Amino acid sequence: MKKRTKLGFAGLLVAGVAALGATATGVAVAAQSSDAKAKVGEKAPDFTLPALKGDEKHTLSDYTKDGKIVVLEWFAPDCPYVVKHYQDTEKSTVNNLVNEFKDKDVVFLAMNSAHSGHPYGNKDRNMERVEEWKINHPMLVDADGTVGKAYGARTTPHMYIIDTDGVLRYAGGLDNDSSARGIGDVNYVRQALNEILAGETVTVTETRPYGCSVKYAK
Amino acid sequence: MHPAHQIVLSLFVCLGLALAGSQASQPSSAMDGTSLVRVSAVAEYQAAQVGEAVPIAVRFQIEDGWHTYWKNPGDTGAEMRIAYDGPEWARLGELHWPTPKRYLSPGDLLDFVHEGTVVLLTDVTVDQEAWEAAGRPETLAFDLNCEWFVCKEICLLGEGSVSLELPVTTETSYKNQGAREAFSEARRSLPRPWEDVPEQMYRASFENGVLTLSAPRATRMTFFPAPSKELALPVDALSEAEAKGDTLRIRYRDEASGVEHLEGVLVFERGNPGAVNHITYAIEVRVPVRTEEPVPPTDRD
Repeated sequence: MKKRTKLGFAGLLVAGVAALGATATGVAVAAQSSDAKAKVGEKAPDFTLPALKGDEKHTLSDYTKDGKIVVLEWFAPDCPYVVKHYQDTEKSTVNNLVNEFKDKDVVFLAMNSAHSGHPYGNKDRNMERVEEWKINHPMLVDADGTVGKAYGARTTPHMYIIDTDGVLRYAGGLDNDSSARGIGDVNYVRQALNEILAGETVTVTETRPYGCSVKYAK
Repeated sequence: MHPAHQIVLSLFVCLGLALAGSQASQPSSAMDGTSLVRVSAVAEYQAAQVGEAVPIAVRFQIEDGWHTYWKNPGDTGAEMRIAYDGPEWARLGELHWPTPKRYLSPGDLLDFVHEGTVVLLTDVTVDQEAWEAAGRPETLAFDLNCEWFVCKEICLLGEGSVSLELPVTTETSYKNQGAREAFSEARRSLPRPWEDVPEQMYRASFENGVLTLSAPRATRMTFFPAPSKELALPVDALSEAEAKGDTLRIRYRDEASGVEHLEGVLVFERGNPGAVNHITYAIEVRVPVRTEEPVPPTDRD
Protein backbone atom coordinates (compact mmCIF):
# COMPACT_ATOMS: atom_id res chain seq x y z
CA MET A 1 0.00 0.00 0.00
CA LYS A 2 1.42 3.28 -0.97
CA LYS A 3 2.31 5.71 1.73
CA ARG A 4 0.56 8.98 1.19
CA THR A 5 2.09 11.96 2.85
CA LYS A 6 -0.49 13.62 4.98
CA LEU A 7 -1.28 17.09 3.74
CA GLY A 8 1.76 16.99 1.54
CA PHE A 9 4.25 17.42 4.35
CA ALA A 10 6.18 14.87 6.26
CA GLY A 11 5.13 14.97 9.82
CA LEU A 12 3.15 18.12 9.67
CA LEU A 13 1.39 17.29 12.87
CA VAL A 14 1.95 19.84 15.53
CA ALA A 15 1.95 18.75 19.12
CA GLY A 16 -0.43 20.68 21.22
CA VAL A 17 -2.90 21.53 18.50
CA ALA A 18 -6.43 21.16 19.73
CA ALA A 19 -8.03 17.94 18.61
CA LEU A 20 -10.71 18.26 16.00
CA GLY A 21 -14.20 18.14 17.18
CA ALA A 22 -13.14 18.35 20.73
CA THR A 23 -15.87 19.60 22.94
CA ALA A 24 -15.42 21.48 26.14
CA THR A 25 -11.75 21.97 26.48
CA GLY A 26 -11.45 24.74 28.99
CA VAL A 27 -8.03 25.38 27.62
CA ALA A 28 -6.29 27.68 30.00
CA VAL A 29 -4.49 30.52 28.33
CA ALA A 30 -2.94 33.49 30.01
CA ALA A 31 -3.10 37.07 28.88
CA GLN A 32 -1.17 37.73 25.68
CA SER A 33 -1.03 41.42 26.05
CA SER A 34 0.68 42.47 29.20
CA ASP A 35 1.58 41.57 32.71
CA ALA A 36 -1.60 40.73 34.53
CA LYS A 37 -2.78 43.76 36.43
CA ALA A 38 -4.50 42.09 39.32
CA LYS A 39 -2.59 39.00 40.39
CA VAL A 40 -4.01 35.93 42.05
CA GLY A 41 -2.73 35.74 45.61
CA GLU A 42 -2.31 39.50 45.89
CA LYS A 43 -4.57 42.28 47.08
CA ALA A 44 -7.27 43.04 44.53
CA PRO A 45 -7.58 46.66 43.36
CA ASP A 46 -10.21 48.47 45.36
CA PHE A 47 -12.85 50.49 43.53
CA THR A 48 -16.03 52.47 43.89
CA LEU A 49 -18.46 52.39 40.97
CA PRO A 50 -22.02 53.56 40.37
CA ALA A 51 -24.78 51.05 39.83
CA LEU A 52 -26.65 50.85 36.55
CA LYS A 53 -29.92 51.23 38.44
CA GLY A 54 -30.44 53.88 41.10
CA ASP A 55 -27.99 56.30 42.63
CA GLU A 56 -26.09 53.98 44.88
CA LYS A 57 -22.39 53.33 44.64
CA HIS A 58 -20.59 50.11 45.43
CA THR A 59 -17.16 49.88 47.01
CA LEU A 60 -15.29 46.59 46.95
CA SER A 61 -13.61 47.08 50.31
CA ASP A 62 -16.96 47.80 52.00
CA TYR A 63 -18.04 44.30 51.08
CA THR A 64 -14.85 42.52 52.04
CA LYS A 65 -14.60 44.37 55.38
CA ASP A 66 -18.15 43.22 55.97
CA GLY A 67 -17.00 39.62 55.63
CA LYS A 68 -18.23 39.08 52.09
CA ILE A 69 -16.56 37.14 49.33
CA VAL A 70 -16.98 39.14 46.13
CA VAL A 71 -17.38 37.69 42.64
CA LEU A 72 -16.82 40.13 39.77
CA GLU A 73 -18.39 39.19 36.47
CA TRP A 74 -17.47 41.24 33.41
CA PHE A 75 -20.67 41.64 31.44
CA ALA A 76 -21.92 42.68 27.99
CA PRO A 77 -25.60 42.50 27.14
CA ASP A 78 -25.28 41.03 23.65
CA CYS A 79 -22.01 39.16 23.72
CA PRO A 80 -22.91 35.60 22.62
CA TYR A 81 -20.85 34.09 25.41
CA VAL A 82 -22.71 36.12 27.99
CA VAL A 83 -25.99 35.29 26.30
CA LYS A 84 -25.34 31.57 26.51
CA HIS A 85 -24.95 31.79 30.27
CA TYR A 86 -28.16 33.80 30.75
CA GLN A 87 -30.64 33.17 27.96
CA ASP A 88 -32.30 30.20 29.61
CA THR A 89 -33.31 32.07 32.74
CA GLU A 90 -34.29 28.86 34.51
CA LYS A 91 -30.88 27.34 33.95
CA SER A 92 -28.84 30.54 33.85
CA THR A 93 -25.32 29.72 34.93
CA VAL A 94 -24.82 33.04 36.69
CA ASN A 95 -28.26 33.39 38.26
CA ASN A 96 -27.99 29.86 39.59
CA LEU A 97 -24.62 30.64 41.13
CA VAL A 98 -26.01 33.80 42.71
CA ASN A 99 -28.89 31.85 44.21
CA GLU A 100 -26.68 29.00 45.31
CA PHE A 101 -24.37 31.28 47.31
CA LYS A 102 -26.75 34.04 48.39
CA ASP A 103 -26.89 32.79 51.97
CA LYS A 104 -23.18 32.15 52.20
CA ASP A 105 -21.86 35.71 52.38
CA VAL A 106 -21.01 35.80 48.70
CA VAL A 107 -21.78 38.93 46.68
CA PHE A 108 -21.89 38.97 42.89
CA LEU A 109 -21.25 42.20 41.01
CA ALA A 110 -21.75 42.42 37.24
CA MET A 111 -19.20 44.82 35.75
CA ASN A 112 -19.64 46.65 32.48
CA SER A 113 -16.48 48.36 31.18
CA ALA A 114 -17.76 49.06 27.66
CA HIS A 115 -17.60 52.71 26.69
CA SER A 116 -20.93 54.45 26.51
CA GLY A 117 -20.81 54.81 22.72
CA HIS A 118 -20.70 51.07 22.19
CA PRO A 119 -23.90 49.02 22.00
CA TYR A 120 -22.60 46.87 24.86
CA GLY A 121 -22.30 50.01 27.02
CA ASN A 122 -25.75 51.33 26.21
CA LYS A 123 -27.62 51.90 29.45
CA ASP A 124 -31.07 51.11 28.09
CA ARG A 125 -29.90 47.88 26.52
CA ASN A 126 -28.27 46.79 29.76
CA MET A 127 -31.46 47.65 31.66
CA GLU A 128 -33.46 45.54 29.20
CA ARG A 129 -31.20 42.58 29.83
CA VAL A 130 -31.43 43.00 33.58
CA GLU A 131 -35.21 42.71 33.29
CA GLU A 132 -35.26 40.02 30.63
CA TRP A 133 -32.75 37.78 32.32
CA LYS A 134 -34.01 38.47 35.85
CA ILE A 135 -30.58 39.61 37.00
CA ASN A 136 -30.87 40.33 40.70
CA HIS A 137 -27.26 41.14 41.50
CA PRO A 138 -25.98 44.70 41.04
CA MET A 139 -24.55 45.79 37.72
CA LEU A 140 -21.83 48.43 37.98
CA VAL A 141 -20.89 50.96 35.31
CA ASP A 142 -17.19 51.38 34.50
CA ALA A 143 -17.58 53.32 31.27
CA ASP A 144 -14.06 54.73 31.26
CA GLY A 145 -12.66 51.25 31.83
CA THR A 146 -10.49 52.19 34.79
CA VAL A 147 -11.52 49.26 36.94
CA GLY A 148 -11.56 46.80 34.06
CA LYS A 149 -8.01 47.74 33.13
CA ALA A 150 -6.89 47.61 36.76
CA TYR A 151 -8.04 44.00 36.87
CA GLY A 152 -6.86 43.19 33.36
CA ALA A 153 -10.39 42.18 32.39
CA ARG A 154 -10.25 41.03 28.79
CA THR A 155 -13.45 39.25 27.94
CA THR A 156 -17.12 39.05 28.69
CA PRO A 157 -17.53 37.07 30.77
CA HIS A 158 -14.30 37.30 32.79
CA MET A 159 -14.61 36.24 36.40
CA TYR A 160 -12.69 37.26 39.51
CA ILE A 161 -13.15 36.07 43.08
CA ILE A 162 -11.94 38.20 45.99
CA ASP A 163 -11.89 36.79 49.50
CA THR A 164 -12.78 38.55 52.74
CA ASP A 165 -9.19 39.74 53.11
CA GLY A 166 -9.47 41.51 49.77
CA VAL A 167 -7.14 39.02 48.13
CA LEU A 168 -7.76 37.82 44.58
CA ARG A 169 -8.26 34.05 44.68
CA TYR A 170 -9.46 33.23 41.16
CA ALA A 171 -9.31 34.88 37.74
CA GLY A 172 -10.54 33.44 34.48
CA GLY A 173 -13.43 31.81 32.73
CA LEU A 174 -16.78 30.92 34.14
CA ASP A 175 -16.52 27.29 33.12
CA ASN A 176 -14.60 24.88 30.97
CA ASP A 177 -16.67 25.07 27.80
CA SER A 178 -15.71 27.76 25.34
CA SER A 179 -18.02 26.43 22.65
CA ALA A 180 -20.89 28.49 21.33
CA ARG A 181 -23.70 26.88 23.25
CA GLY A 182 -22.34 24.33 25.65
CA ILE A 183 -22.20 24.82 29.38
CA GLY A 184 -19.13 23.29 30.96
CA ASP A 185 -19.15 20.38 33.34
CA VAL A 186 -16.70 22.25 35.53
CA ASN A 187 -17.75 25.66 36.80
CA TYR A 188 -14.54 27.23 38.00
CA VAL A 189 -16.33 29.88 40.03
CA ARG A 190 -18.48 27.38 41.91
CA GLN A 191 -15.45 25.20 42.50
CA ALA A 192 -13.34 28.05 43.84
CA LEU A 193 -16.14 29.46 46.00
CA ASN A 194 -16.75 26.09 47.61
CA GLU A 195 -13.06 25.69 48.29
CA ILE A 196 -12.75 29.17 49.79
CA LEU A 197 -15.83 28.66 51.96
CA ALA A 198 -14.42 25.35 53.16
CA GLY A 199 -11.15 27.02 54.06
CA GLU A 200 -9.32 25.03 51.43
CA THR A 201 -6.74 25.99 48.86
CA VAL A 202 -8.24 26.96 45.53
CA THR A 203 -7.12 24.24 43.14
CA VAL A 204 -7.68 26.10 39.86
CA THR A 205 -6.71 29.72 40.34
CA GLU A 206 -6.42 30.85 36.75
CA THR A 207 -7.96 29.81 33.45
CA ARG A 208 -8.37 31.33 30.06
CA PRO A 209 -11.46 33.55 29.99
CA TYR A 210 -13.31 33.10 26.71
CA GLY A 211 -15.71 35.54 25.12
CA CYS A 212 -15.99 38.92 23.48
CA SER A 213 -13.33 41.53 24.07
CA VAL A 214 -14.23 44.13 26.65
CA LYS A 215 -15.15 47.17 24.57
CA TYR A 216 -12.88 49.71 26.21
CA ALA A 217 -12.85 53.35 25.16
CA LYS A 218 -10.04 54.22 22.77
CA MET B 1 -30.96 25.40 -2.50
CA HIS B 2 -30.83 27.08 -5.88
CA PRO B 3 -31.42 24.47 -8.64
CA ALA B 4 -28.23 25.37 -10.47
CA HIS B 5 -26.30 25.06 -7.28
CA GLN B 6 -27.82 21.68 -6.65
CA ILE B 7 -26.73 20.45 -10.07
CA VAL B 8 -23.19 21.61 -9.49
CA LEU B 9 -23.10 19.96 -6.09
CA SER B 10 -24.47 16.71 -7.47
CA LEU B 11 -21.92 16.76 -10.22
CA PHE B 12 -19.07 17.11 -7.78
CA VAL B 13 -20.35 14.26 -5.71
CA CYS B 14 -20.73 12.08 -8.80
CA LEU B 15 -17.15 12.80 -9.70
CA GLY B 16 -16.13 11.86 -6.22
CA LEU B 17 -14.82 15.31 -5.53
CA ALA B 18 -16.94 15.55 -2.46
CA LEU B 19 -17.18 19.27 -2.69
CA ALA B 20 -19.70 20.94 -0.52
CA GLY B 21 -19.50 24.43 -1.81
CA SER B 22 -22.66 25.57 -0.18
CA GLN B 23 -23.43 27.10 3.10
CA ALA B 24 -25.78 24.64 4.64
CA SER B 25 -27.03 26.75 7.49
CA GLN B 26 -29.03 29.82 6.71
CA PRO B 27 -28.79 32.85 8.97
CA SER B 28 -31.46 32.90 11.58
CA SER B 29 -31.32 36.66 11.88
CA ALA B 30 -29.50 39.62 10.45
CA MET B 31 -27.33 39.68 13.52
CA ASP B 32 -26.35 36.05 13.27
CA GLY B 33 -22.68 35.43 12.55
CA THR B 34 -23.62 32.54 10.30
CA SER B 35 -24.23 34.92 7.42
CA LEU B 36 -20.81 36.53 7.81
CA VAL B 37 -18.78 33.42 7.02
CA ARG B 38 -19.29 31.02 4.13
CA VAL B 39 -17.86 27.57 4.61
CA SER B 40 -17.10 24.90 2.04
CA ALA B 41 -14.91 21.83 1.90
CA VAL B 42 -13.17 19.69 -0.68
CA ALA B 43 -11.31 16.38 -0.56
CA GLU B 44 -7.94 16.00 -2.25
CA TYR B 45 -8.63 12.48 -3.50
CA GLN B 46 -11.49 11.04 -5.50
CA ALA B 47 -12.08 8.22 -3.04
CA ALA B 48 -11.26 7.26 0.51
CA GLN B 49 -8.66 4.54 0.34
CA VAL B 50 -9.01 2.30 3.36
CA GLY B 51 -6.29 2.99 5.91
CA GLU B 52 -5.04 6.13 4.17
CA ALA B 53 -5.64 9.71 5.20
CA VAL B 54 -7.56 11.80 2.69
CA PRO B 55 -6.65 15.47 3.08
CA ILE B 56 -9.62 17.78 3.41
CA ALA B 57 -9.53 21.54 2.91
CA VAL B 58 -12.17 23.49 4.81
CA ARG B 59 -12.51 26.99 3.46
CA PHE B 60 -13.97 29.88 5.41
CA GLN B 61 -14.76 33.07 3.50
CA ILE B 62 -15.13 35.84 6.03
CA GLU B 63 -17.06 39.01 5.30
CA ASP B 64 -14.83 42.06 4.76
CA GLY B 65 -13.97 43.88 7.96
CA TRP B 66 -14.72 40.91 10.22
CA HIS B 67 -12.34 38.39 11.69
CA THR B 68 -12.36 34.90 13.18
CA TYR B 69 -9.85 33.42 15.61
CA TRP B 70 -6.73 31.27 15.36
CA LYS B 71 -6.13 28.11 17.43
CA ASN B 72 -4.75 30.38 20.15
CA PRO B 73 -7.29 33.22 19.97
CA GLY B 74 -5.19 35.50 22.15
CA ASP B 75 -6.62 37.68 24.87
CA THR B 76 -10.22 37.31 23.73
CA GLY B 77 -12.38 35.34 21.33
CA ALA B 78 -12.64 31.64 20.65
CA GLU B 79 -11.03 29.49 17.99
CA MET B 80 -12.88 28.12 14.97
CA ARG B 81 -14.02 24.56 15.48
CA ILE B 82 -14.74 21.67 13.16
CA ALA B 83 -16.51 18.55 14.40
CA TYR B 84 -16.86 15.31 12.46
CA ASP B 85 -20.32 13.81 12.22
CA GLY B 86 -20.16 10.54 10.33
CA PRO B 87 -19.68 6.79 10.62
CA GLU B 88 -17.54 5.56 13.47
CA TRP B 89 -15.31 3.57 11.14
CA ALA B 90 -13.74 6.80 9.92
CA ARG B 91 -12.09 9.56 11.90
CA LEU B 92 -11.00 13.11 11.36
CA GLY B 93 -7.38 14.12 11.87
CA GLU B 94 -5.85 17.22 13.38
CA LEU B 95 -6.46 20.74 12.18
CA HIS B 96 -3.64 22.62 10.51
CA TRP B 97 -3.92 26.37 10.67
CA PRO B 98 -2.49 29.07 8.44
CA THR B 99 -0.48 31.84 10.01
CA PRO B 100 -2.74 34.38 11.77
CA LYS B 101 -2.47 38.14 12.14
CA ARG B 102 -2.14 40.25 15.26
CA TYR B 103 -5.24 42.25 16.07
CA LEU B 104 -5.10 44.97 18.70
CA SER B 105 -8.09 46.43 20.54
CA PRO B 106 -8.35 49.27 23.07
CA GLY B 107 -7.26 48.17 26.51
CA ASP B 108 -4.05 46.59 25.16
CA LEU B 109 -5.92 43.50 24.08
CA LEU B 110 -4.05 41.35 21.58
CA ASP B 111 -5.80 38.68 19.55
CA PHE B 112 -4.59 36.31 16.83
CA VAL B 113 -7.06 36.35 13.99
CA HIS B 114 -7.91 35.42 10.44
CA GLU B 115 -9.45 37.76 7.89
CA GLY B 116 -10.64 37.27 4.31
CA THR B 117 -10.41 33.67 3.22
CA VAL B 118 -8.86 31.10 5.53
CA VAL B 119 -8.41 27.43 4.73
CA LEU B 120 -7.87 24.87 7.48
CA LEU B 121 -6.45 21.54 6.43
CA THR B 122 -7.33 18.27 8.02
CA ASP B 123 -7.84 14.70 6.85
CA VAL B 124 -10.22 11.80 7.17
CA THR B 125 -9.14 8.17 7.50
CA VAL B 126 -11.16 4.99 7.11
CA ASP B 127 -10.06 2.49 9.75
CA GLN B 128 -9.69 -0.87 8.04
CA GLU B 129 -10.71 -3.08 10.94
CA ALA B 130 -13.73 -0.99 11.87
CA TRP B 131 -14.75 -0.63 8.23
CA GLU B 132 -14.68 -4.39 7.71
CA ALA B 133 -16.61 -4.94 10.93
CA ALA B 134 -19.24 -2.52 9.62
CA GLY B 135 -19.74 -4.66 6.50
CA ARG B 136 -17.35 -2.82 4.19
CA PRO B 137 -19.67 0.11 3.28
CA GLU B 138 -19.10 1.42 -0.23
CA THR B 139 -19.50 5.09 0.62
CA LEU B 140 -18.19 7.40 3.28
CA ALA B 141 -20.67 10.22 3.86
CA PHE B 142 -20.08 12.67 6.67
CA ASP B 143 -20.71 16.20 7.79
CA LEU B 144 -18.21 18.70 9.09
CA ASN B 145 -19.99 20.87 11.60
CA CYS B 146 -18.16 24.16 11.80
CA GLU B 147 -18.49 26.84 14.43
CA TRP B 148 -16.92 30.26 14.54
CA PHE B 149 -16.81 33.41 16.56
CA VAL B 150 -16.71 36.42 14.29
CA CYS B 151 -16.03 39.96 15.44
CA LYS B 152 -15.75 43.53 14.23
CA GLU B 153 -17.28 46.21 16.40
CA ILE B 154 -19.45 43.53 17.96
CA CYS B 155 -19.03 39.77 18.16
CA LEU B 156 -21.35 37.08 16.81
CA LEU B 157 -21.43 33.32 16.73
CA GLY B 158 -21.93 31.44 13.52
CA GLU B 159 -22.13 27.89 12.36
CA GLY B 160 -22.31 25.94 9.15
CA SER B 161 -22.23 22.33 8.12
CA VAL B 162 -20.71 20.91 4.98
CA SER B 163 -21.43 17.43 3.68
CA LEU B 164 -18.85 15.30 1.98
CA GLU B 165 -19.30 11.97 0.26
CA LEU B 166 -16.53 9.74 -0.99
CA PRO B 167 -16.53 6.23 -2.42
CA VAL B 168 -14.53 3.86 -0.24
CA THR B 169 -11.92 1.76 -1.96
CA THR B 170 -9.19 -0.69 -1.15
CA GLU B 171 -7.45 0.29 -4.38
CA THR B 172 -5.19 3.25 -4.96
CA SER B 173 -7.17 6.45 -5.01
CA TYR B 174 -6.33 9.24 -7.39
CA LYS B 175 -6.14 12.94 -6.85
CA ASN B 176 -9.05 15.17 -7.51
CA GLN B 177 -7.59 17.38 -10.23
CA GLY B 178 -10.15 20.07 -9.61
CA ALA B 179 -8.90 20.53 -6.07
CA ARG B 180 -5.21 20.74 -6.92
CA GLU B 181 -4.99 24.53 -6.82
CA ALA B 182 -7.06 24.78 -3.64
CA PHE B 183 -4.68 22.47 -1.80
CA SER B 184 -1.58 24.15 -3.21
CA GLU B 185 -2.85 27.49 -2.02
CA ALA B 186 -3.83 26.15 1.38
CA ARG B 187 -0.42 24.58 1.93
CA ARG B 188 1.35 27.77 0.94
CA SER B 189 -0.53 29.52 3.76
CA LEU B 190 0.64 27.05 6.39
CA PRO B 191 3.77 27.74 8.39
CA ARG B 192 6.60 25.38 7.55
CA PRO B 193 6.49 22.40 9.95
CA TRP B 194 9.19 22.57 12.58
CA GLU B 195 10.55 19.18 11.54
CA ASP B 196 11.30 20.56 8.07
CA VAL B 197 12.92 23.83 9.08
CA PRO B 198 16.69 23.86 8.40
CA GLU B 199 18.71 24.42 11.55
CA GLN B 200 20.48 27.44 10.12
CA MET B 201 17.21 29.24 9.44
CA TYR B 202 16.74 30.41 13.00
CA ARG B 203 18.07 29.99 16.52
CA ALA B 204 15.98 29.50 19.61
CA SER B 205 16.65 29.04 23.28
CA PHE B 206 14.75 29.22 26.52
CA GLU B 207 16.67 30.27 29.59
CA ASN B 208 15.70 31.95 32.82
CA GLY B 209 12.11 32.29 31.69
CA VAL B 210 13.00 34.06 28.43
CA LEU B 211 12.44 32.66 24.95
CA THR B 212 15.02 34.06 22.56
CA LEU B 213 14.40 33.70 18.83
CA SER B 214 16.78 35.00 16.21
CA ALA B 215 16.94 34.68 12.45
CA PRO B 216 19.97 35.85 10.46
CA ARG B 217 19.34 38.99 8.42
CA ALA B 218 15.75 39.30 9.58
CA THR B 219 14.39 42.83 9.44
CA ARG B 220 11.22 42.14 11.38
CA MET B 221 10.00 39.23 13.52
CA THR B 222 6.64 38.20 14.94
CA PHE B 223 5.92 35.23 17.15
CA PHE B 224 2.52 33.63 17.63
CA PRO B 225 2.48 31.37 20.70
CA ALA B 226 0.57 28.11 20.35
CA PRO B 227 -2.22 27.44 22.84
CA SER B 228 -1.06 25.97 26.12
CA LYS B 229 -3.21 24.14 28.60
CA GLU B 230 -0.47 24.65 31.15
CA LEU B 231 -0.51 28.46 30.76
CA ALA B 232 3.02 28.32 29.40
CA LEU B 233 2.64 31.58 27.51
CA PRO B 234 4.33 34.95 27.12
CA VAL B 235 3.89 37.48 29.87
CA ASP B 236 3.57 40.32 27.38
CA ALA B 237 3.16 39.20 23.79
CA LEU B 238 1.89 42.64 22.86
CA SER B 239 5.23 44.31 23.52
CA GLU B 240 7.68 41.48 23.16
CA ALA B 241 6.44 39.09 20.47
CA GLU B 242 6.87 41.52 17.59
CA ALA B 243 9.88 43.69 16.83
CA LYS B 244 12.09 45.10 14.11
CA GLY B 245 15.44 43.41 13.75
CA ASP B 246 16.66 39.85 13.92
CA THR B 247 15.96 38.90 17.53
CA LEU B 248 12.96 38.54 19.82
CA ARG B 249 13.26 38.15 23.56
CA ILE B 250 9.97 37.06 25.07
CA ARG B 251 9.46 36.62 28.80
CA TYR B 252 7.32 33.65 29.73
CA ARG B 253 5.06 32.96 32.64
CA ASP B 254 6.47 30.76 35.38
CA GLU B 255 4.34 27.88 34.12
CA ALA B 256 6.69 27.55 31.14
CA SER B 257 9.29 25.91 33.35
CA GLY B 258 6.94 22.97 33.78
CA VAL B 259 6.54 22.03 30.12
CA GLU B 260 8.83 20.12 27.81
CA HIS B 261 8.58 22.46 24.83
CA LEU B 262 7.39 25.90 23.91
CA GLU B 263 5.70 26.08 20.56
CA GLY B 264 4.40 28.64 18.16
CA VAL B 265 4.76 30.17 14.73
CA LEU B 266 7.61 32.54 13.92
CA VAL B 267 7.18 34.94 11.04
CA PHE B 268 10.20 36.89 9.92
CA GLU B 269 11.00 39.15 7.03
CA ARG B 270 14.21 39.71 5.16
CA GLY B 271 14.75 42.84 3.14
CA ASN B 272 12.51 45.84 3.34
CA PRO B 273 8.85 45.88 2.33
CA GLY B 274 8.52 46.92 -1.30
CA ALA B 275 12.09 45.96 -2.16
CA VAL B 276 12.72 43.20 -4.69
CA ASN B 277 14.58 41.17 -2.09
CA HIS B 278 11.78 41.34 0.47
CA ILE B 279 10.65 37.91 1.56
CA THR B 280 8.56 36.65 4.45
CA TYR B 281 9.02 33.28 6.14
CA ALA B 282 6.56 31.54 8.44
CA ILE B 283 7.88 28.56 10.35
CA GLU B 284 6.79 26.50 13.29
CA VAL B 285 9.18 26.57 16.19
CA ARG B 286 9.42 24.04 18.97
CA VAL B 287 11.87 24.98 21.66
CA PRO B 288 12.95 22.62 24.42
CA VAL B 289 12.60 24.05 27.89
CA ARG B 290 15.88 23.72 29.70
CA THR B 291 15.40 21.97 32.99
CA GLU B 292 18.03 21.72 35.65
CA GLU B 293 19.21 18.18 36.13
CA PRO B 294 19.11 17.24 39.81
CA VAL B 295 22.56 16.93 41.26
CA PRO B 296 23.14 13.31 42.28
CA PRO B 297 23.94 12.85 45.95
CA THR B 298 27.55 12.13 46.80
CA ASP B 299 29.05 10.00 49.55
CA ARG B 300 29.84 13.17 51.47
CA ASP B 301 26.15 14.05 51.53
